[in-house]
Amino acid sequence: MMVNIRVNGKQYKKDIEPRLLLVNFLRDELNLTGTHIGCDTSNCGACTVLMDGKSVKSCTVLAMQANNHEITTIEHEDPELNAIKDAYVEEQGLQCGFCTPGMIMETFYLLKDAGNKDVDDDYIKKKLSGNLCRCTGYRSIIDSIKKANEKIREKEEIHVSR
Amino acid sequence: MYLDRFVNGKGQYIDDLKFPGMLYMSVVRSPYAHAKIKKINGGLNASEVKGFYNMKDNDNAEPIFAINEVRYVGQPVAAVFSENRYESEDLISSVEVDYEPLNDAVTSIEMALKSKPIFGLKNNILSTDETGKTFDEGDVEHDVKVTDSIDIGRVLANPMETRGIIADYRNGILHIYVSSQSIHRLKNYFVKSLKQFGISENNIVVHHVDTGGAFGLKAAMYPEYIAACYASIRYKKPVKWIETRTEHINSAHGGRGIRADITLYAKKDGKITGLKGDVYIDNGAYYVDTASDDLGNVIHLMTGPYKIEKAHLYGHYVLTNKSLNGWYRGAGKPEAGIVMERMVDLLADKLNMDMAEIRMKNVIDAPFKSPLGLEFKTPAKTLFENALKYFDYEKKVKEKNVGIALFMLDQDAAPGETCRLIVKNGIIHVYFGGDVHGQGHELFARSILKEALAVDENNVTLELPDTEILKEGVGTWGSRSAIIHGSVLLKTAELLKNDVIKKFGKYDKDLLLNNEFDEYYYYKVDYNEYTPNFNMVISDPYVPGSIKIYSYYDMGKILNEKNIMGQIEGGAIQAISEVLCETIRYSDDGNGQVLTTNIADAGVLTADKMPEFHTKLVETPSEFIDKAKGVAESPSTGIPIALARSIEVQLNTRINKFPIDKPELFNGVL
Amino acid sequence: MYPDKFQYFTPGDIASLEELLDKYRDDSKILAGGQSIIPLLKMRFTSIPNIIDISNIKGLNFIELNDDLEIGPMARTAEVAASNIVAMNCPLLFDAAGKVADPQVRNMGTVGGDICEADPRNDMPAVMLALNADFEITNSSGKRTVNSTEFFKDAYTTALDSNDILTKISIKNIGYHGKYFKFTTMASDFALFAVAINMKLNSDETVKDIGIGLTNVSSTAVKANEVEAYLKGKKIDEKISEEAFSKLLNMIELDDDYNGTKEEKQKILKKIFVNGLKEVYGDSK
Repeated sequence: MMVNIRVNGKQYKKDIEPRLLLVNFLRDELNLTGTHIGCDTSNCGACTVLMDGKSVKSCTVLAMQANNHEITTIEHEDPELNAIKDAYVEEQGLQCGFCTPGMIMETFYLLKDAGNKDVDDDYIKKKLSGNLCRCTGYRSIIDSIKKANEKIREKEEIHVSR
Repeated sequence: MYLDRFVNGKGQYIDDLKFPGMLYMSVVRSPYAHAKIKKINGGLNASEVKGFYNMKDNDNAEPIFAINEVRYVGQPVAAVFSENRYESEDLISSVEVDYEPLNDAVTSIEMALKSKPIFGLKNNILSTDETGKTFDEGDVEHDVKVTDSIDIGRVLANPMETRGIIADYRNGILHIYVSSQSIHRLKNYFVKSLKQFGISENNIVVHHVDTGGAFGLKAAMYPEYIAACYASIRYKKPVKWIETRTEHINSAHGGRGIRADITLYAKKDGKITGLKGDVYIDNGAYYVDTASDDLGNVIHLMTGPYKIEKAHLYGHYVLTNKSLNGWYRGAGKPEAGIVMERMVDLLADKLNMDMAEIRMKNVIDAPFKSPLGLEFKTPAKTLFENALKYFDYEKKVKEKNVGIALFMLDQDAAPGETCRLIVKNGIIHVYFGGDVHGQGHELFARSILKEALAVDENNVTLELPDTEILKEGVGTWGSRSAIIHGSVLLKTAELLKNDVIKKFGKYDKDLLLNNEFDEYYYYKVDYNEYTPNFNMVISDPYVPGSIKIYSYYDMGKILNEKNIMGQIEGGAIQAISEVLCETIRYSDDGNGQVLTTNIADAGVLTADKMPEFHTKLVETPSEFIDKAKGVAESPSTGIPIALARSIEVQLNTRINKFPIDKPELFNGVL
Repeated sequence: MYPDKFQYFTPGDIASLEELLDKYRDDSKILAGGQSIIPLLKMRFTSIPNIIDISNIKGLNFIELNDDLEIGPMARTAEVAASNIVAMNCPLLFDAAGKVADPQVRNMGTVGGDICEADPRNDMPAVMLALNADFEITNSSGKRTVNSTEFFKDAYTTALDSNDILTKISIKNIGYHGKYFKFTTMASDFALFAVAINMKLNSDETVKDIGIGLTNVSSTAVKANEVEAYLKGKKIDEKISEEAFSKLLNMIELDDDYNGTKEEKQKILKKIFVNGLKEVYGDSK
């Protein structure tokens, strides 16, 4: 079946099997391999992407469900997303790096979704309940998110080379 | 830099690699824990691939594909292939297997010890090892003795990236790309296991790729790897296998899984005079070489930081209808510490002594050769005293639920490590013999070379080696990375520096970077250094989020503090889950089904379970070149001990089973 | 893990949906957010030849206050959990929606899907029972209304026929106080069990009306009718709560397993139930 999906600002039209999962559409059809698969059961969140600005688990969404929608992945170029990436590097909010794209995309969403709420430990812990990390114990991830929040609010200059 | 690559989704993990014409392999697995295979039709199976995959020959080795019988749920029976990964999974149902279920599956050490032999041996103990010298109770001076059975459940490594491999046989060379901790260790396995199919050592190249966590899992060999290699040779195409999480839960090697029946003998002043007992390891369904490391660590390390003159342990490998035993963060070392410290606390309670006082009574205050065969050069007493004082133990123990842990960290430095440095186009390319999977090798490589060679950190890049560019290597496991990779790097950098001086009569960084150099060094180490470390935990099981972790660790030399903190924090949350809820569960009704169905059920915790950290790093330089000491396994050892004690004090119930499995703990409902 | 092959349809209106449902009946299934069904398809626990995605049908995603609080089956769980209308009128639903699974699943998943899937571990069935919600069900022969108490038949089994679609959730009992007390094990976001309480008091602080639903204490969500009847007209104190709990025990089935013995589980459930009643009663005063 034909799908039209806008990914990171670019329109893609592809003929796919209806059963194709969004994560495989991104990874195999578009070669956007930054989005990872960590479990079969929508527990781990390594596959988190944004659909129309809201975080979803792309391993539990059919590519067909994204038809005529807009998807944002870790490969997206965006000043706020870059600020988050910088913060993860500075705070070493990753070790093996496998959960990282999902963590960063969920961070992107939870910071936008926070509105005027305080982005403190409690808020972040609650909002991170759909993402697993086996390496860091989350402390450095939470610190990265808090730092990213500061950067975005202060519009700090982005400096990580990419 | 790996951090930049990873945050941008530019990692090249095994499933990110694609080769033209590549086949996806899906594995047909046994739904039974014990059954005869009467007939099998379809797929690549044992009728064609009749072989074994182990490093050592053993009568009870696991076959690549089940031959005539299956011994655990998830055992590979056949493999199917397609260029499309969805279709490859579809093909699983095309393989017909006629099983005769035996319904006699044994899924715990207890069941195995009671049950009739499941695999035709004289009992369900595959073999028994022994440490120390036997002694009779009458030979050991004692006023009291305490005996208990300590049970540490099986857990899975569950790295966020599962196992995965691509085998690509082209032009007579088998290229193997694999998510791993050691391409060299795996190459040895491949050489041994592929010989039966006519592939020789010279025709195998193993490539390291970005590896999404391992925790011991990815240093071992698995039947699926050999199946993929065989298929690539057979079909003349690259073959990729990516483990699903469900396969991981059913089939990957599981760590821990220990029962220790221990007796401690002591005088009434708390001095421990003897230790003896039996340790049983849940070996799984076949002989596996990793089990001897796990059990070996338990029965060698158990006396740990204590001066105990008489000790004797048996270690039994117990066969069960489960996937095989494997390494998991610490591989027997945490188990040794947990068992010992649980016994010391029991003795303290029996003698009505303070838990620090009884430890102080027994702690090694001079180099000590333990009766279980290890040589502890660094006494633990000073660190122990300092740690108690630093965290104000005496005051805290009076007002809170405190648990403490003193243990010897074995850093697994032996047999050393290799490094190659290639300087080209102004960049120093670093190749290590141990594969990176989350230890931040690149961070310390950059900082060490910055200092050693006066270069900019951006002139240094860590490369992923293969077994051609680096012919020898050891691996990344234990708590060895900073020590052994830092040391070999310093040594190799020295060689580079000498090359520059030899060529130009002097050293400066531009002479290095503007020319081409290539140096290699194998830093050989034939001993392990044991470092005492300390943890304290304060918690209130009645209050969610109340776990406070105090770590007093000797780092030798701090190479990158944030990185060390990350290792401690990551180890801590794994330790907490191991105490409270993490394990793989099996039915005990003879069907041996795996009851754990997903990574959350397996016990991997989310961010809201993160504890509070109080960490003090001290630096007593090690004997190694870079002066560093290890860290990764310290939290896995010390935190479960101290947390269990802290909970025990509050609940006033002896804790001798891990996980405790009481969902009401730290859940606000007690 | 990947789903088996299926045909996929995205009807644009109810009439085309009905046509498809009438055609494929048992060989089809409606896909709302997919957060329950896609994992089952991936694990190949089930195989469905025809998947009918209803996200393109206009008029199924709404949250409106008319005489009742009305919610469309395609309202995303996250939308319900962020809705001011829901927060003001139905604090139980507001609280419970925010406790379903995790943020990503709530962004994609729907309240309607949670109800119709009727997994005994799903949160919404017990909430709907506590709210005494009515479900508007549509098929090619017309519309009918089924009360939640008549809806949940067994695990994964509801009053929906294979050509039915849930088109509206109506909640009459608004302006109550309520909360969802969800007890999860350490590592899972599924309820080991949960208690949904919806309560309204008379001016003398006796209970005017109360709804209680329970998650994962039986093969399907349980409405605690006897307990509700017992509590009506009473002021809630510890003794009354304990008596209420003893009545509740007759309505549920707890088994021994690795999470604890039946007795241990009862102890935990009692705490949650008694504390929960106390909390909601306190809020209602």
